Amino acid sequence: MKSVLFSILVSFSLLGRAQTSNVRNEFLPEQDAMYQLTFSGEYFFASSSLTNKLANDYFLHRFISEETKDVVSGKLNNQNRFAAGFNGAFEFLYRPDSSKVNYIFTLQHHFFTDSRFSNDLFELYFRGNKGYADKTAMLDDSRFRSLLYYQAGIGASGTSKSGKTNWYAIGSLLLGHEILDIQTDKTRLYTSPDGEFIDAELNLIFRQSDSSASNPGAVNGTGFGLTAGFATHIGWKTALHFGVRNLGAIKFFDRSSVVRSDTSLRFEGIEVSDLFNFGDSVNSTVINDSAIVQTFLSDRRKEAFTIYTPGQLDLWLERPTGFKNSTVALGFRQLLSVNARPTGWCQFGYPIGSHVFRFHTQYGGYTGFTAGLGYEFNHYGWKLIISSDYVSAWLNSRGRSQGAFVSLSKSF
Amino acid sequence: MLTISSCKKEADNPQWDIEVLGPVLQATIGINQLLADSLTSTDANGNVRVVYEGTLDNIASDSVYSIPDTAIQTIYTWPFFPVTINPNTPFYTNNKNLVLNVKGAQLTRAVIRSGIIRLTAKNTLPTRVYFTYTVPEARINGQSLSLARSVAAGSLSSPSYFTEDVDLSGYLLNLTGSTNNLVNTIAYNVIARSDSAGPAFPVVQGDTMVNLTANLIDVTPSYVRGYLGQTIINENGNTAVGIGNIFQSGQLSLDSANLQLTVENSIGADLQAYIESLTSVNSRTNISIPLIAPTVLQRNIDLSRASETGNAAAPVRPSTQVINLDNSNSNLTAFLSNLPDQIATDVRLSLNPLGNISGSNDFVYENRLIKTKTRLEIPLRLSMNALTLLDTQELSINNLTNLDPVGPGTFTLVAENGFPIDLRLQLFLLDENQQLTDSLLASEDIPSGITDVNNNVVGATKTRIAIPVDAERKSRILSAKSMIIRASFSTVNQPQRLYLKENYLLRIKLVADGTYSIR
Repeated sequence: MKSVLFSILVSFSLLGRAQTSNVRNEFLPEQDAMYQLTFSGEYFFASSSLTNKLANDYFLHRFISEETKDVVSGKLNNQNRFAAGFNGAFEFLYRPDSSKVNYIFTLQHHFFTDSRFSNDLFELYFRGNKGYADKTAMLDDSRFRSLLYYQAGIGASGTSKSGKTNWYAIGSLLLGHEILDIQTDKTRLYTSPDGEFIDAELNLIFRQSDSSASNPGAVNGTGFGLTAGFATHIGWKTALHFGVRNLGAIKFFDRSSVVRSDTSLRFEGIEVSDLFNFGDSVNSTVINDSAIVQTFLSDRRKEAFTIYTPGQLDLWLERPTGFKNSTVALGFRQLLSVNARPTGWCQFGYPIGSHVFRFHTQYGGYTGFTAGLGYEFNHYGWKLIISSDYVSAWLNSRGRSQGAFVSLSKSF
Repeated sequence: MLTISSCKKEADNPQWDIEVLGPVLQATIGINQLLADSLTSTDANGNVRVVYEGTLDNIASDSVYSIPDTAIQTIYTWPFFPVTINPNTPFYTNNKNLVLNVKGAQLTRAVIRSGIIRLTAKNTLPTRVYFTYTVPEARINGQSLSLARSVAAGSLSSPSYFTEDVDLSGYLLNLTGSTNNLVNTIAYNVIARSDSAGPAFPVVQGDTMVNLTANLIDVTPSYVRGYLGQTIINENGNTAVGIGNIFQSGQLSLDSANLQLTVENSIGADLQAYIESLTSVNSRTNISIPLIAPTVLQRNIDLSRASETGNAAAPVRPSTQVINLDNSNSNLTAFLSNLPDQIATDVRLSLNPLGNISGSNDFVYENRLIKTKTRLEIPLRLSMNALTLLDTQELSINNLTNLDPVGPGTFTLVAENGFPIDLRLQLFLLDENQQLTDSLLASEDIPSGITDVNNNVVGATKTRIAIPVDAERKSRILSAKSMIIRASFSTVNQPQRLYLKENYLLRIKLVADGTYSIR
């Protein structure tokens, strides 16, 4: 019961940032304010098949039981996906008296994990290959990317003379800290019935940033990012919002590792024939794992490579419902450069004095249907937003998504 | 607080168990692995013969000659009426011979590889005394050994001393004495003179005028010449044979063997060998088989003297004697089939059996004495009947890799036997007190490959032996300090002897089927 209460408390819509019907955007300071400081943070996990239980156990390093795996196995499809991430941001908005242009300064931290995988990959990874005796595990067309980068942005926002349209644009320097990127094409693993050999067909590429530079402030790549958008009245009391967020690319330096494999091999055990060389003393060392791997992952290079950051494209319409001051919004979102499907969403906002309550539903992305709640509180220049798009999944013991957003702003 | 505590990580890494099935280790064992220390050759039919080659240095140089440490003391007392010795006055000169106590040989010449001469002088006279110590026939680069030294003035109650070591390395010693017709004799000369800057001093009868000692210490020649004497060297005793020590029981029957002994005499003196007996001793079975070889044993084998080449790089031209033993002239196969762990020898070597027939021109170069080259060739046509090999290997499994994640399971030993040999394998684990803690393989049979009517293997036989490993057994394996390997070999169709061929292989694979904990 505690967990349910806790979930309700922190489950409010992330899309509080897109709620107004008076053509506002999050990079416009509050009316009559010259400065606005905002601290925000969010985390999320969403999957087409992996459950919250498994994700929690994995990320919190708890033991993952067979029961937990069984639930996931029951939800697996031929192709599955998941994403998880944590973002933290500090924003400073400045509106000079003499200008209608507002200046934007942002510092952000992004950690994003994204994957597309077959059911066999899950079973192999979490249960081992014994269940594949005399079977071929199909690991084709799988992706895994884990990216951690920092962002420092500067930009501007403003409103048209008519007041019907507002806009914003932010350019960012991206500092890549860590990347692990694995992509497979035709990759399969056959385990013989008696376990005497394993046939592997490996067509994959493995890219990783310089692992020797892993201290928190290390920069292993640089790039550029763009966030921009506008909102405008289109009639019928309706506002159209369009925006792109965090479009960009990072080039990781030439200290990075790139391993390619396009080979077939049969593994029959580590070769220890020398141990039976009865002419010598038996003092050989058993070959270690790397010696095995190196035999087929022989194309190892140090080279630079470029990856696209997970971007986001948003398009939505918003208008008053006519019921008191409530609003309704209907939108479309597509995450770019990752393995998410398009997302359609709908949100209902209902203000009561200094409070705004929101109800949010969506379908798509990395998971299926979810419903969420949001709460906003405004008082003397302070604004607090807490939301979650995944309350329904949290309440479901077999839910496959979770997340929360918290933002605190001060305008003065 | 609830949020923070619920997000706390419980371990360093995610944790779950997987079930693995797959090969872990593999080995392919052929004749070449089994006989890695030996040369093998193969005939046109693929039959293997093993060749062992080795070299033995049969005797040490000190069994022919040696120069013991020797002290040469020169004491001269004033024999006459009292006189006064003036400054810069020679008062003693003498030529002497020193006979070295060389054992067995009558040497006329030696080149010294190492050693020193230590001069010690004692002076009780009231003036500095100058000594000149000369060995005229000790030469290096054409120069004689001559040492001019002095010892300070002293008295009876407070004598003065002088000591110095002189390196003799590289000196050529003529050992024929001052008359050039002696042996083992060094001629030397001592002169004593008073200090030219010292006082005149009186001496009376009995006063010690010279007290000088020269010690030859650790003198080792690299070459000697002369007559080496009629030394008899007896080589009696037992020599351990390595391979015999690891066979515990069983019978081996070889078809044939050939032993070639090439004896090289690099001594400039005639030798005569007499092999009284050679015996194959198997101390486990208490069976001893004497070598029967009438053409070799219990008869004199003459080894003529070597000659000098005059070439400093290879100064000796040895004489050689080749002895062959095989089925036609010996019971060598029975001798070897006994699987000796020791060879008992009774051999006598006589130096110069005919006396000094070289006119004292025998010679020996250090480290060039008698060498026996052994070449043993055994065609691998044999039969083995429960021939059991026992060996103990030290283990340090914990050092290999982290085995903590390995959970309960079954390891399966898969053996594909392509030899015409039935194997029986046992593995025992021992703790640090050499106490048995587990038996990984109790007594598992690995049948031979499939053979045709000619006893040639036409197909391998596959055997799977399961080794369950639970937590307790894993602990015993990890804590084991050593492992006993006991392997028994029996060829098929006993007692026929059959060929072992180059293409015969034993493939071993260890397959794991169990739980592995991801941590």
